[in-house]
Amino acid sequence: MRPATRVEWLKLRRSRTARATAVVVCLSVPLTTVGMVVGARSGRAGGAAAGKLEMLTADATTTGHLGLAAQLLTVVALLGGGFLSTWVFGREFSDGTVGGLFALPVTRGRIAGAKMLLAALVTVAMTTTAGCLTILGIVVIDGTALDPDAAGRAWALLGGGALTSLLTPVFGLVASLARSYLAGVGALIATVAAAQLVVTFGGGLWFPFAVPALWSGAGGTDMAAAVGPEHLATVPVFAALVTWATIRTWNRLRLD
Amino acid sequence: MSTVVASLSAVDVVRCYGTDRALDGASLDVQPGEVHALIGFNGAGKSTLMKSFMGMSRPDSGVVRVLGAAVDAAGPDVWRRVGHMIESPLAYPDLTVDENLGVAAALHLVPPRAARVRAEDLLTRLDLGAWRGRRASQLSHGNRQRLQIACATIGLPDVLVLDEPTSALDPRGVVLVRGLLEDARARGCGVLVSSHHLDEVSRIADRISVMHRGRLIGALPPGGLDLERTFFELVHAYDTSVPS
Repeated sequence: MRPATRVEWLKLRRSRTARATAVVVCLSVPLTTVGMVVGARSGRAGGAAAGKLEMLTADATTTGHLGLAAQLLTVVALLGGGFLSTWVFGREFSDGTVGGLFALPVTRGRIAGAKMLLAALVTVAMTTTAGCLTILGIVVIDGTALDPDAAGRAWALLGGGALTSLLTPVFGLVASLARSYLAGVGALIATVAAAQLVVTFGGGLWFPFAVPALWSGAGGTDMAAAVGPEHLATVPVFAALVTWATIRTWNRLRLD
Repeated sequence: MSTVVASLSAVDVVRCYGTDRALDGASLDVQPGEVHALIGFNGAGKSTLMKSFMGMSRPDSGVVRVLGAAVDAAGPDVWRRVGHMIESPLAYPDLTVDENLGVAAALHLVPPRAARVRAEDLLTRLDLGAWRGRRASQLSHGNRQRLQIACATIGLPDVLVLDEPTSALDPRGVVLVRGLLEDARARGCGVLVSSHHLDEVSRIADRISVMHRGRLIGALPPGGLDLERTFFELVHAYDTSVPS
């Protein structure tokens, strides 16, 4: 393992913030999905919650439940992975350690690359774990094995989580430019809201932050079928641009 | 005939922040095997000059070199021979003392076996052994500063730049760090150190330069008597001859 990757992996493993994020991401999606389906079936939910549950679980098939899970997983992947990414970059400024990354034989660009790589990989691992637990939970509460259609949705659920993970390093870039992890958190919240609006107004297929969710079934099976390779390609293209911009930003960083 | 390459050299360096000239034609050099102390008031430009040497600040004009290489063009072969502690340290609060030393060694490309030997030596010399398993966030301010100095020196640098390295240390810690700097000098390391403590720099420095309003305005004799008085006379004379 390269020195930068080894060092960043140690820092990530030891970070209490990263550990707490991993627990929240891995458990929140399966618990919420299963809880909503069970709550809707029980008929005991009252008030506004009952209406929301009925709307969210209107499609009572396993495929419908996986669509509900896709909505939750892609948002949680964006929030959790985005928070992790903004933290691994922003902490250098908030902890006052960024100056120590100057005048080293390991360039800051390599260090930034290692941060992005590890944050994205950990996010993929977190969302895959959350997705698998969610699929398992749905199979248990539905009491049936996945039919071919549902199995396809399950794979898309995992793929949507992984694709979303590739988008999260952009919040590390925002934290780096603003020299504050709070700026990254602000951008994250704004992006989640923007994705909702863009989808509402019909532009979701070309908005990288909405594409994984739509592809994994969050917008229904018809919308999922409309997602083509050209739409999916926006995600790696965006991720590549962010990678280039982040490495360049860190190589040119000054502490004036 | 071979010429000795300066560990650090700055010639006519200017750095402005708006209308404020943080560095106003500063020139300074540090030779191998020399401890060069930089003293001056807060805001005199000491930290800005040190940051220019480490690539943290880009001068508007002038030439800044480290081991003969222009800072912007210096590569890994230069930087692996450099250690520093300027304002923000390389010590992560989540990591233990041992882990922080391991991080510093890895980023200075010190081979693992040599890193372990050097870490043991530094833990002993800076009296940090009792805290080696503690997170940096749990250390006292003084012990954290010792850890930061250990991280800066773990690569056995040929150039060492330390900004206020003893500001949080008790008298015993000051003596320990002084011993470390004396050893660095003995093996040919060029050391640039800033401090507000004239007595301390007088004991260790080979040269003492006075910085004021972004310029090097004079020197004090190491080991001289009443350095404080000489320092204020220099500053007063400069302010009188060059009104702000």
